[in-house]
Amino acid sequence: MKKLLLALVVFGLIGAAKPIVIGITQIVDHPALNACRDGIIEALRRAGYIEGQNVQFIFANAQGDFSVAMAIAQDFLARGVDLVVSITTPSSQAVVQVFKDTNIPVVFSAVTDPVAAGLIGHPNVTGASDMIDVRADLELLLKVVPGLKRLGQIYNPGEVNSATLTEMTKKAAKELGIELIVVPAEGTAAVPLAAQSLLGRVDAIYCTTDNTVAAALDAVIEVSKRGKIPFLFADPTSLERGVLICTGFDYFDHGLLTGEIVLKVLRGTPPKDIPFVRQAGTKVFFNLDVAEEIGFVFSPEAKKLATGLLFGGQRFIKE
Amino acid sequence: MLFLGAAEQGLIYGLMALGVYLSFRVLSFPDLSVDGTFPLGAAVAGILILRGFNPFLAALVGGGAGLMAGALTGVLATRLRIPGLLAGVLTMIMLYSLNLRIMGRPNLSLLGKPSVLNGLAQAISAPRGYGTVLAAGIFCAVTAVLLLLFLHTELGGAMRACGQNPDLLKSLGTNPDNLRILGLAISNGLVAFSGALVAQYSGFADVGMGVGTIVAGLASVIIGELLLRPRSLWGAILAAVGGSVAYRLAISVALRYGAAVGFTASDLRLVTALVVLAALAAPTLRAALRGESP
Amino acid sequence: MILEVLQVTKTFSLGAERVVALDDLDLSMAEGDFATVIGSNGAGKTTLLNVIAGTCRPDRGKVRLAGRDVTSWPAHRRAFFIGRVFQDPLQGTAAHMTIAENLALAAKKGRRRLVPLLSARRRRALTEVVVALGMGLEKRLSEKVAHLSGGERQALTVLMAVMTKPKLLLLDEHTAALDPANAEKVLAVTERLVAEHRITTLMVTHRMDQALQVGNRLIMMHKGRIVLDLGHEEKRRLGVEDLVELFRRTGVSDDALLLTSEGDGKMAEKAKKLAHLL
Repeated sequence: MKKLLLALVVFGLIGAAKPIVIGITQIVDHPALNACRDGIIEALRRAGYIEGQNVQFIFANAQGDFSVAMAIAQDFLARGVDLVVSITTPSSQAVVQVFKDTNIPVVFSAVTDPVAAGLIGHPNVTGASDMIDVRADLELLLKVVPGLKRLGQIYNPGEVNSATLTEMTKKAAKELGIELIVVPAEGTAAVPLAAQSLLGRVDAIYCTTDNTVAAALDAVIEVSKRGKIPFLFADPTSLERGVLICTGFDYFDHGLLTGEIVLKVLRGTPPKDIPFVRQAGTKVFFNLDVAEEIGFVFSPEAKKLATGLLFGGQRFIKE
Repeated sequence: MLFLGAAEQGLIYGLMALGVYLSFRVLSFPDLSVDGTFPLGAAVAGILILRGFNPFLAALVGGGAGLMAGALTGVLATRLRIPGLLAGVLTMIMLYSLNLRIMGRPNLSLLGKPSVLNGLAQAISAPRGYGTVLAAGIFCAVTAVLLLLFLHTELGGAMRACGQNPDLLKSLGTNPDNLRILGLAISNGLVAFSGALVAQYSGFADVGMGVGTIVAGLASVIIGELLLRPRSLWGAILAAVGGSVAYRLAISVALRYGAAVGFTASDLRLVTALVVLAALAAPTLRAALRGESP
Repeated sequence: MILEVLQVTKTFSLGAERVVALDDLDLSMAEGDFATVIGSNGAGKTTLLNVIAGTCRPDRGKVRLAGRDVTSWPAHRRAFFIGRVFQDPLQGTAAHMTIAENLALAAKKGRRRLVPLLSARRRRALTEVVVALGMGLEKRLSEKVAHLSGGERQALTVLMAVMTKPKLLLLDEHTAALDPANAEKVLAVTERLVAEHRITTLMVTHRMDQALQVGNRLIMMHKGRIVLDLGHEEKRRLGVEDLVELFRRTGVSDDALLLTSEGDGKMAEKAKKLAHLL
């Protein structure tokens, strides 16, 4: 009874206050980024922040135009938002540039390397980094693919997040003694050829959270199946599309994580006391249907490393 | 407040609009290489600033890089006789890779690094909040005056004639090819300098920040002409800068009030393209309405 | 010799067809010559001017200007020696610039420097030059050329072409696009300026009366060759219908030209007179 009363009071207090205005900006319209945004909203909703009642969201999307990203940030400032959520690096950089001398909190999301992006060091800025553990992925591959010597990676050198991860892949590969063949693809149209160029040259393919590869994923899947090459992609939502191994996290979960940070800030913790967080809890999925299709065998020891399996079209999650 | 940001952007991008005015209106050359030279200026200035160089010098060197890239487009189009649009596209494509190489990564953070706009604002003891717009205004004003003076020299006058009647220049003993190369160099120098300033303004340089520069530049020049209807050279130069401010203002207004009429940022590109299209087609349409052939 | 065209041949391919525009043509002009050039369409008149000016390279032959072999020179280099006026009044000026600016550009050939185009001193000098046209343009120096009439523009173009006292003036049917009144005015201006500065001139015209009245030499072209080259004395004695007859005899039949003749009646009478000319 007491708990119910307390909950009612809390909800009441939240309801009675002026709606909090949160500006959410992202650089492009993109499924992963949209999922992230949805996760943030969901996290807030679960904590009692309902759109139209005690919170008001202003969504803005720069459509790839950096000057518009700046204009959006300035618009948010002019409107007097209470908090800004910026998704992806360029949008975050624009927001921090505009808000850095204010005390309006900024929470960034889906920024792979916030330090290199210059976002860290401002008292009103914190957020969540979507940097994946590249080394862990490579170690996983070494354990699961017997005799792995040569690894192929496709990426878009123009995407800063992706370029950072590729640099990390190069470093980790060197440390682990794997020969890495990196193929650039400047746009989705270039991905099929880039993937095909790996046929016969690599023992496995590893792609990170590169937006260009994500957009042209089917081409890479087709090549990996054709060449019977194990393919690891750092996006767990792609498992059903035919990727052999998926690691990483769902951007919706990343949004939930970001939402938690937003909630902390809304409840009174100043951003400078919240160090930016890395997405933890990497999942590992094996697609046994594809394995059968290309004649790949997961050893029993390898299977132990998975957090989930796809079999007969159904996901089986380990408890 | 809404207008201040638009004014700042309008003036800083105004230098780019002046560059596009020079290539598109004075030389009658639609130059697509600006999509590559804009981030080139940003990239060069960016790494120089990160290495500790004076931000003004860094921007000037960025402009110098743009000058060379513009000259390259000019050489491709004149000496190698590659059609103008293709020449610009080729330069733009080459610069994409070059810009990546210069920066070493696709994005450079300049947050917290010295900016020439702040430096100038301090130097003139600008009132708080107005520093950037005044500094940008000074850059624009100085550039506009220099451009006007240039276009009134023998060289500038020949360049103006070249855009409309290159054969006349041949019969007056001047090689129009050289004028085009020089004009494109100056134009892209301005665009690259603008890119260097924008990088310092935004706090970062990104290899993708040039996409859509030519459209924004054309929109600025054309909107300025529609609003101010210039009849003199000075009027045309002012119109280019004014158009740039008006264009950024329109974006800000659309962002702020657009939601009410169902207008989103995604529609901005369509609207911009429509404005440019309408203005470019206006002479033809007007003539058709009057029943003449264009 | 101001101009020497030596054995020049130029052929154009239009798809499968090959047109011989200039056929082993020779032409010399001494200083002070003012030659009118007539011929049917396709006779090669404009091609000849283009080859001399450098906007067209011959397949064979040489062009010499003031003793120099300019065959390999590009047009803008030859422009030091040549002034040129085209038929289209729009071609000879920069329409969006003012009269003063156009004149200032034409006042100096070649290198353009970073100095003001219209200094006060230059403006004064140009005003004097324009007064010589006698068309009142000195009062309209700051007007854009686009606002001038076709006749005024052509007159301005002629002035611009002779301002630097070129060795050779090329006129390509430059009054053809004007109404008769303006055509007369521009022709008068042309003759006056040419006489004043003693410029060797080659004038292509489609009007036989003009061809006879103007200049001290008459050249008739047909199918890329010169079929008639009359000096001053011979020219003076001819009437338009004589020219028409000469055309006929050389195998030329061009309705436009024939229509300018006076009438068939006098034909037989003149035939005797012509016998000794050919």
